[in-house]
Amino acid sequence: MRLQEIHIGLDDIDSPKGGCTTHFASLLVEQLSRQSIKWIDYPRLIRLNPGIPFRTRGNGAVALQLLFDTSRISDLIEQIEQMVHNYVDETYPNTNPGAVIVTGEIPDSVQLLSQQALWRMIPIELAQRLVERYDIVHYKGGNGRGLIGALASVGNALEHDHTYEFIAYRSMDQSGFKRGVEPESVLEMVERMKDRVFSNIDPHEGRVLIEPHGPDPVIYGIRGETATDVIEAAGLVRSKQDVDRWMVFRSNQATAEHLTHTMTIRDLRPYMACLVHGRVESRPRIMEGGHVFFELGNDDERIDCAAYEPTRGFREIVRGLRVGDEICVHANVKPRSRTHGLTLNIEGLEILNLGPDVLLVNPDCPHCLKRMKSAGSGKGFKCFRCGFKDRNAAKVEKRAERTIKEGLHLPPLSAQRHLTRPLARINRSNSGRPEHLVSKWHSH
Amino acid sequence: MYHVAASSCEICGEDEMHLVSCKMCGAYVCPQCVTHDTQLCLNCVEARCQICGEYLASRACNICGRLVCEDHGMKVDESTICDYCRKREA
Repeated sequence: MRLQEIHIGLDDIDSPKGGCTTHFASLLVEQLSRQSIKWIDYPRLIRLNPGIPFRTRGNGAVALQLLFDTSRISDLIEQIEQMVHNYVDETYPNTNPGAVIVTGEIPDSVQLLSQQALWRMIPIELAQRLVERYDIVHYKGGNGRGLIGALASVGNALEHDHTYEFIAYRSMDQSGFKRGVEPESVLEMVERMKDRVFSNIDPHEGRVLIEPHGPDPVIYGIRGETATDVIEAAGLVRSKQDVDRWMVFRSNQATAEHLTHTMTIRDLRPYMACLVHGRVESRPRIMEGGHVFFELGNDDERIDCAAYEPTRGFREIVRGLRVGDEICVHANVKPRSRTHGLTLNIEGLEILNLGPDVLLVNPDCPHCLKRMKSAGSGKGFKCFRCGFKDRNAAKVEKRAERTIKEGLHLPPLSAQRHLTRPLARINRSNSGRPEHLVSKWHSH
Repeated sequence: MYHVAASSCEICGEDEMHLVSCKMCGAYVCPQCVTHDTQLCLNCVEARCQICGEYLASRACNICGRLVCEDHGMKVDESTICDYCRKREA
């Protein structure tokens, strides 16, 4: 028996009705842990471009890295295939599971695909080409879209910043019922753990964020800076539903790994996640549904930017922008439709330079100092108090006080993407693969 | 500023002298990453609305999985129902 390093990538093993790729990964980890293997890294939960419309929920894929008897690779892929068949809802036509097994070094092209998958769209055919070129052992269901995330997860070694998430699962037969995470226990946990954990509760609304609302098997997920921290934090959280299993993931969540490319407006493509610098070109306006829109310009090009209703208070910051303000928008590019062109869906806003908020107002009466009214087109202004008229008077500029400040502004935690770096993690970074794994990082 | 490299395909990254601009999204792609009959890049071929084909999809139907544009998929809370499924369910 010869143990060699292998990487297993998994994606799209879920559907809107239930299931979760991370949960499936925990079942596979349980199976593998019974065999002669050695884990090299924690399971990696890799979030991919959040603007892709094909995702079920959070566009997450999972990679496992371990030492394995490579003479049994074909048995392993058959085992994974069988497990996927037993797990997925095959009646939902948009579940396209994918699994890959790469032995040894990850090819450069796979690493490149992995980087691209964070901020661009990747076609299925490109993933298939790489699988064929490198003769990668794989399984694909449906149209094979899962191969993209599976390759992208093994190609991202999280060499730079990363975080951890402890995910507690219920048994599949409990998926239709309320999880019952006790908010008091979460508050106590956050108080005790302080900045070793993050994004677990909304500090403004006191709303618990660790509990999802869909029919998936996750009871809660606790995010933090180290594996030890999230395991300790989980010990403080209580829920009505029993924890059937749990596992710790190393992840690119909360690292902003998807927002590393700055684009000009003319080079934007649908579904990109990127940074766009420019000037505000139109005063923000609130539209039906509570969404706020304004125009951004750079290099003589213009594009609409949108802050949607679920971002709540963040829209007030956006509404405070004025023509001429210099900003950097953190965004996903929404494709054009019948009613609008390419649009930047704002995920974050850096205000670089606030310009003056200049309003044109009627002049004051020189006698009683009250604001005059128009006397009619081309007839100047008239004071309705004292009757003073001035045919040559013109509107005057008035500077209003700005209601917003320069700096980075983000939507509330409940409206942030998994990949968004929350304010609590600004200037924080974990780097490098952990040298040792904690002794117990999964339940089975 | 990051500019799209004029000599490499925006999809596969391969260096290529003869890039084609996708008729739908404008991406510069190599001959392997464009469909020659439609002049659409592989991304747009996959992401087109599966009802009208005229616009790119912004969501997937939660019932049938079809990719649909804003005009052909209605949002119901967190879910999307495409026009076909909506008619069938009605």
